[in-house]
Amino acid sequence: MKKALLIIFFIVLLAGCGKVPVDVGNGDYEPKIVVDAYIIAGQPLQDIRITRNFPLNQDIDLTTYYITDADASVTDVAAKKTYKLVFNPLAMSYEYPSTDMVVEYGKTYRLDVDANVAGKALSTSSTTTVPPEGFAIDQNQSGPLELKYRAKNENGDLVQSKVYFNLSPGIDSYLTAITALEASEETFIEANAFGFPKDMLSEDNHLAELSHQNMWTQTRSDAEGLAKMEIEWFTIWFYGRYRITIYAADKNFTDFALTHRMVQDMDGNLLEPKFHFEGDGTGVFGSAVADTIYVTIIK
Amino acid sequence: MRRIFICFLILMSTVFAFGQSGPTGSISGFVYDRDTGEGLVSANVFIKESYLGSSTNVNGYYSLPRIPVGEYTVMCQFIGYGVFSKTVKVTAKSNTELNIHLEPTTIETQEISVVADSVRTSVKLYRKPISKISLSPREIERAPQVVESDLLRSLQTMPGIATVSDFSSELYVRGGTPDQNLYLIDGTDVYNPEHLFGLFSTFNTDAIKNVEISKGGFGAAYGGRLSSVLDVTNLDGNRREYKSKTSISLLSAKTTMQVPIGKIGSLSGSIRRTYFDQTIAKSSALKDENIPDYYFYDGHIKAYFDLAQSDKLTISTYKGYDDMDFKMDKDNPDSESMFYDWGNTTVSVRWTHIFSPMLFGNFWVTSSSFDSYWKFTDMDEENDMDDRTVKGNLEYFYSQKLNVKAGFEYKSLRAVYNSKFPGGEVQIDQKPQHFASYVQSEWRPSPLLEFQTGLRFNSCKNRGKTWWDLDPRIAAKYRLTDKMSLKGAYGRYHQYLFRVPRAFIADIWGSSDEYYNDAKSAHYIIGLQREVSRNYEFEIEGYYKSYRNLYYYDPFFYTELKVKHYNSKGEPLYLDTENIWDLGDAYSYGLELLLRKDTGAVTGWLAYTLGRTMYQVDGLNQNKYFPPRHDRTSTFNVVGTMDIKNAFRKLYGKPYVDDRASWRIGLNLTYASGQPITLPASFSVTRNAPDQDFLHAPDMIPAERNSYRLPPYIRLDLSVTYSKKFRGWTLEPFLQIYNATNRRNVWFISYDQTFETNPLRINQEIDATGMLPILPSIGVNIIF
Repeated sequence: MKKALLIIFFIVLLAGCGKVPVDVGNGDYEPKIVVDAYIIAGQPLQDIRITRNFPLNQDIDLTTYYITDADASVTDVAAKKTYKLVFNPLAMSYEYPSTDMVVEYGKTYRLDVDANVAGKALSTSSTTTVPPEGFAIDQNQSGPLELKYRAKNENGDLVQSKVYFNLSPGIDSYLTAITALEASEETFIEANAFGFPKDMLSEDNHLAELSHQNMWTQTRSDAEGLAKMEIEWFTIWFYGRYRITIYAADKNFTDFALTHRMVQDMDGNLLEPKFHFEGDGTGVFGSAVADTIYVTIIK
Repeated sequence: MRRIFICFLILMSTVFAFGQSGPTGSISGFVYDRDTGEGLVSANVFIKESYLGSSTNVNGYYSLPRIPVGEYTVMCQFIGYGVFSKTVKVTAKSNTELNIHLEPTTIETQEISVVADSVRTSVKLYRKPISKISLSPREIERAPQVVESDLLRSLQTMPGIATVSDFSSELYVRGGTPDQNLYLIDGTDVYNPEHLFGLFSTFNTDAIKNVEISKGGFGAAYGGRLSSVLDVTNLDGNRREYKSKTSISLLSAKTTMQVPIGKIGSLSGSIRRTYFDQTIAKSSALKDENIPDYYFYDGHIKAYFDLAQSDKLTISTYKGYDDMDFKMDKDNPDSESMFYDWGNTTVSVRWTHIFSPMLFGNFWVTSSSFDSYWKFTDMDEENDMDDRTVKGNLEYFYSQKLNVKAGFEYKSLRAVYNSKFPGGEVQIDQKPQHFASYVQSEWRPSPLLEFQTGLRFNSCKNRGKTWWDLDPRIAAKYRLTDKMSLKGAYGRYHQYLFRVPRAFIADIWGSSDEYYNDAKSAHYIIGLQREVSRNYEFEIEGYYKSYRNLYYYDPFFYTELKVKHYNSKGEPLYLDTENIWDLGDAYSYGLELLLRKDTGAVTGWLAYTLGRTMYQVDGLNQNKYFPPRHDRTSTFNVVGTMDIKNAFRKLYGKPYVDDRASWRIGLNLTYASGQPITLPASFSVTRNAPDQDFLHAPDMIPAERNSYRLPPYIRLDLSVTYSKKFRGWTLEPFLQIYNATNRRNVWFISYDQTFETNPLRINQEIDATGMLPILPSIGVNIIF
């Protein structure tokens, strides 16, 4: 008995040295249709990206990533009218080529896609309801449209650029995309308040990631009927011109934006993002009402 | 119907037990440490001529009631102390007051001093309630740990108690989560008992007098949690002379002092503070590194007053505090900083009154607060939990065959969570009130058989909603042979307080409320205990636990938030907990083996657990059962310390010698089968928003929840201690090596994808994020 215990002890001890390899194989890969599609009120059906998922632990050739021969259509659910989408090889996305259709406020649309992925015939659908009319940025009230990085007022408090806007009735989810249009290593704010070093810009797609920041609020309007979004300084990493686009977003868009990039929890485990697809699909088919304003950050 | 039957059974067992009579007397008193005057908890007092006896309660009090008139040998035994024996004459209708002063001995000598009249290991095992584990401060101190000894980490080596990573001192007991454990210091609840984001627990091991953890099936005296009770009693203080212990390790300096207060009592106090903010962080080697300014301290003061033979008063207070400041760029005057501080404060006043030799009472007024504050840029968070409790219990020692306990507890709680963030605000202020009362009987119809039956009534009131719950508890012991006993327990448990688990920031406590009902659990336990070779304890226990209405935090709760209120800026103001939790059911079952030796030159334990925990949570994993992250199939622990000289003496048949200079080595080997984790089933590339014009790193599409198992966790810790006794004081330098084989146990898997542009490719790299590497540390204990 003592011998057996000693043997077990030493086996465990030997196994307990150094780096531990992790073999995850290719995971439980199942082919999926990946939809990356946002339809914007007042705009035609365009830039609907249909791609495929790829397995864990394999390098991916992105030229084989786009599905170019999918059978895709968007249906106006109330009118029961279907718009067949065609692939545009220049944009690498699907669109409805005729000019007789623009996305309408408050309407419900369903996307249907049939495609062959990894030799398997797949089918998926998703439905979105476009937010109603009403949302618009108040270009006159918003500002300052040009300000110094982390400018302070006479009290020493930070000044932020504020974007005022009218709400879409019944919509309380507003997503803001803040894009640095002149992002480069030269325009990077080296004296940023968060200690992010310039030499890390070239690593891990950091330059691109920092140039596009997002915020979300569930705001409401004030006494003057305007809601407000303050552009936080932690979203600003470059000097130059910024495009601030606010989206009055539907549930699909909101859930996707708030979950798909935050799948890995603090303890390293993965969480389930919120997708709204039936069948073999994943990704987003969202809708929004959008408006844009430009702000410039100077030295 | 089943509940009614169980309640009937409990009441009937109490009623039948009262049917005793005859000319009798009683023996009662306290059991003290002879050198310090400390009351000893769980010491065995019994009459040699029979199996019947009693264990001292938390005050060190015992009572042997209704003993037939005659002369008896009263014996008392407690680990670490010599055996007490005295002949006592019991006369009719009178009480013999017998205060017992046990003489401390070295643990090593106990093994060879085992003689015919000492308490058998099997008797100690039989007296112990099912699923209860006691650890002495000596055992906690000697087990090698991260830098210095730690109570919760020592408990993690026991069967049925697991952890999730090296960075956590939290306890997952028999599949339960840490918020299902009731932590008590001197009778006061402690919330979030962690320092340094969970790396260390708040319990200063030098200040501890006694530790007991009940892993399940606990009696009606405890409630409010679904899984376990950890009851820590701090030192009352030496009532004979001034005593002190000072320890210095790479982490902290700590000192514990005990001093008598005249003849009426004693005072003990301790303080511990980390000092790497003053030493390592300021060293020239690290002066260019941006290291957070961090420290923690904790301390306690406890005063014990022997007001009269029948009245004792204990006042105890504890405070722990962590403080972290971190400037993101220390060379930039405009840099943003993060501030985070948190801590616990407890105060308790306990009055102990002996109404009669047979009726003993304890009454507490306690206060416990956990507060934390975090600030970064224009975000901040206040997270507070306050607990004001009044409670009391009475123990009635009716006869040697029966004693009855009854008690009550009233809690006024307040859980506050305020947070400001860009575009919104949270203000949740809950004021739940809990009331509980219980009755519990211990009935020994024969020396071979014992029943503990209890009924606990719980109620909780919060936000206009009230819950009423009745929890039956039953435990039974049967002495199968001279060396072996069989035990079983069943209990129902309710919980109304829950915490939102968060990594690297304090968990948030909340209550059942208008959106979420209470959670409940049932424990079924059966165990066999056997004395092996006189000094070895062997225990095997099997358990099954079921959970209903289990709270499972939804990290994506904000996607379902409904805005009902707005602040003055028109931003959403969230005032309630709606959608924060997902609810589910769960079960866990397992088999635990423990072989333990507490005396001799070599002491320690071997522990093995075979277990399984499964959750089913509405809306998660397609509503299918999945193992939670803390599920471990097998866990094996070897914990041991050896007095080298005496071990060799024993090997060569020589007698034990209490050396003035000795070497001691310690070992802690842990093997745990792999933790479950979720793998990505695949990846995809999408945009965050329609106007995003670049490809960011691919999104992960998770596979079935926690369906993959990480490699096994293996860790070996070693320690070497040299002990040198001088006249009146002892010096103990020590070396500890945590993770001596430097195995990089896997914490989680990281996925790194890089883009190549020609041709356009994504290259994947999968790597393991490791836990703590080898951590050698040195320190010294000075005891005088």
